[in-house]
Amino acid sequence: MNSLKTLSHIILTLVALTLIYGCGPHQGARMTKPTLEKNENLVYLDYALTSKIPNEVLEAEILESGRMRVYARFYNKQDKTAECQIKIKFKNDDGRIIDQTGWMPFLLPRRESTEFEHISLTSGVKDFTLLLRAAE
Amino acid sequence: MKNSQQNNSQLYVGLLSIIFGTLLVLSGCVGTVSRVHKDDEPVKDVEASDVDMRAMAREMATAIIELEMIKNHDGPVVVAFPTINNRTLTVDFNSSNLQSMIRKQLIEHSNGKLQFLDMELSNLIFAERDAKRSGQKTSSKRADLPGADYFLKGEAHSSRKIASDGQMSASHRYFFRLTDAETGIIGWEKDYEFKKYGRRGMVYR
Repeated sequence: MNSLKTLSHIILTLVALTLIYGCGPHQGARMTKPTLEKNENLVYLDYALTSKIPNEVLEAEILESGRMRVYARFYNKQDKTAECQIKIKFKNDDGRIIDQTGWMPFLLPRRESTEFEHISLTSGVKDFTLLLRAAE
Repeated sequence: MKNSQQNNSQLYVGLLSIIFGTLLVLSGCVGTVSRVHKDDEPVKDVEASDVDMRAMAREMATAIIELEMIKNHDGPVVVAFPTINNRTLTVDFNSSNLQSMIRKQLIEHSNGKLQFLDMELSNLIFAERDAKRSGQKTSSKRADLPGADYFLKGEAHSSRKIASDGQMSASHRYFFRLTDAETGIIGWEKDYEFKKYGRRGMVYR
């Protein structure tokens, strides 16, 4: 009987605590160090890809129209086709993203170099970040 | 004594039942639908997905916007963009959606250099103009209808093969061309090609 009473007290306390701490505003956690995306032009979202699909070339040029053309080349060291996705974010002087693509399919045949080239739709681009991940 | 003990145990059982019942109801209220990012593909098959459509639209738009014949054209370039021919043998292909994706990016980023004729509303526009000119409707302005400088024409093709294990291989090719509306000369053409293998699409079930 006592143990049943104790158990119900514990359950009620847990429910009350969940309600108290689950509701209400909470202070957000701020980033203490910059993300890779902020500083790097090429970011692998999946660590395994860094050794399997190393980057050979990464170049960018500003065109006459003010748009940026980014060219990259990757080598697939594996013995099978690598199904990846690639995304590019174009930034202005302040580092703000002013144009970006969605995740685009990027297939790399086995033991081959594959090129990727993309031009921004917006002009005034000063920097970029290229992201690569394995397709789900 | 026995009665009070019985009452107490009934109380606790009742309390636990209420708590358990509440949790059960709340878990039911959460539901089984979750919002996913537009680039995620929770359902995959061999057909062209919206990820493919978006990537294709982006590629076509970036290619067109940098064309010398567009940049060097005197003044805005007027483009007629008729319906994309569907030769994919599926009803899933949404021509107007793909057209809109390409057109929207070109209008948004060309700084007025590229202008599109609204071909879907052509008949309505002609009727409206006739009504205004015959005095049936008032109008705040009159303008000439611009002719197209270029036609942007697209076609979607797919072919499929069924493997012995029942899975399917599908090849997709989408191509677009810009044709001079005055001379009929094709000034630019580009394609977007991909192949998938796996589960067949819904239309084949």
